[in-house]
Amino acid sequence: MAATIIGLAQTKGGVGKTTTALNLAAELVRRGRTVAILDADPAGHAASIAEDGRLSYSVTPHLLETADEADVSAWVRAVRGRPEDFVLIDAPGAMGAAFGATIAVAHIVLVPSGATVLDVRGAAETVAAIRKNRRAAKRDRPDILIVPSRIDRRTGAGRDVVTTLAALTEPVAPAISYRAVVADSLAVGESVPVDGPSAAEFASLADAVLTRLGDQE
Amino acid sequence: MKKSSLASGLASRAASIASNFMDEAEPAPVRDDAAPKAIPAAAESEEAARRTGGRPKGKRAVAARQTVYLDEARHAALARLADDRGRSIHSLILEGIDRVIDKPAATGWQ
Repeated sequence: MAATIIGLAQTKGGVGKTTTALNLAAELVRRGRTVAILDADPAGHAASIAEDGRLSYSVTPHLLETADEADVSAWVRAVRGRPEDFVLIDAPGAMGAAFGATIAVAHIVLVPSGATVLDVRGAAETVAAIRKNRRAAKRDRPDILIVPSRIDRRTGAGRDVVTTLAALTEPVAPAISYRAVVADSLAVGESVPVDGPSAAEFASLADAVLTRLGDQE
Repeated sequence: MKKSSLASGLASRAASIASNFMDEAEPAPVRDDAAPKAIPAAAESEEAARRTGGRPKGKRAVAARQTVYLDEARHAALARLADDRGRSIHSLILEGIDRVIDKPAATGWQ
């Protein structure tokens, strides 16, 4: 059976795409699924975090720098040929060939966004690009799930973020809070501690993703 | 050309190629609104309306006209929703009213 492909895309950088990918993958592995992350971002953050070898899944660089037909086809073939249950693609934080290919092959695209105006603008641009591709390809997929990310609930913008993001008229996942432990764990090449509140938030996100995919375990 | 539109064009081209490749590998379900719909003639429209229970185009019973003042966020949300679903803002507003008044699906609800 072909892998379920989950894209992480946002045209603005620094919103938590890589963090979400790494921790969502860890949660899916905890649930007994096989997972691979393909790092399509030339910055290679996910691949560099995996270098320590402490993650419970593989992270492989998978770049696409041109929109030549042969390159794109080979890129897609490699994604579809993965043997895992889930393939997460960490797309670059800007429009380009890898961004376009990711939203075309994914079953669902997670769009992480913070509460700032620039983050929300990037999310809106990303959602518009996905909708445009769906219309052009005459397809229903990919599904879109907005992921409130790096949310600081001590601020007004943080408390209002779900309402703000709901204006994009796409489903909004449970929020991922801004906590030092998230950044600290990645700094040592690990996902968040399983018994902490951040892990519980990523577990809720996994529930939301699986529900959107119609996968009830 | 701006750098952003170059990147956007690159993304669109890659998405198009990847979508075509995906279609070859696994035919996707076609969206209901994919096929262009011909505009029905009046008689056909009435016949279609009888079949589906809707009103023929141009024959909606209008009891009142009301101007709706929308703030920017609501208007933008409605415009995006209408664009995405291939519907009109008017139709979405009617659906919203039906939900608020809890309109039963059965005929004779009035």
